[in-house]
Amino acid sequence: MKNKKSKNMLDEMQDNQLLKIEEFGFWLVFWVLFAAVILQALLGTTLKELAGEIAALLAASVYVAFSSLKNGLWTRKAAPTLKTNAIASAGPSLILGIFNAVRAFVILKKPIEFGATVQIAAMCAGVYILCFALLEVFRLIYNKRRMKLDDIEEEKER
Amino acid sequence: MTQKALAEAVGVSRQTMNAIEQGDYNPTIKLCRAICRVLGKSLDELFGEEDS
Repeated sequence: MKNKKSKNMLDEMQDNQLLKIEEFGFWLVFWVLFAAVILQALLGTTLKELAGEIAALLAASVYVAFSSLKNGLWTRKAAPTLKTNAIASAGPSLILGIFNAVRAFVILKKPIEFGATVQIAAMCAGVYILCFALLEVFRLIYNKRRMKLDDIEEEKER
Repeated sequence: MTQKALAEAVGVSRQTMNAIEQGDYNPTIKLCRAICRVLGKSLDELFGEEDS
């Protein structure tokens, strides 16, 4: 079998358009799958039954995170700082909190007790700390990578 | 030279050539140079700032 690189039939503008379409498609699938996992988990589907969907989400997340870090990229909207990481970590924590509260008090109809509320709050705090620590590790790697990539550019200029 | 002929000579679609002419798409330097080569003009002549 020949390892021949197939010719791109699109010109650069069409290629950019297709990349944008593919990017939108990727995020559409990602968030719809994420919503489906949350909804199914709320309706009582077990973790084992959701393993395929969760594995797909994790694979996509790990790929995006590591490819971005490798290329020295963060997000388009925010610079990597302690403050933005602290704010961003609240998102997953809040989602988990709402998910657990809805599951416990609305779906399973458990009585709203101090113990259960504290348990949910503790879980949220744990996820917040975990996310914040992970983002801070990513920020350290990003800064190192950015420095290395920019150094190469400077050497080329001389 | 027609837009269609220029697009064919450069190797892009007519839609892309039209978008460049209309200012709706910013081509890469590589594509700019290909257009210049076909038209026998310099980058400055084709894409440079006009004197006011």
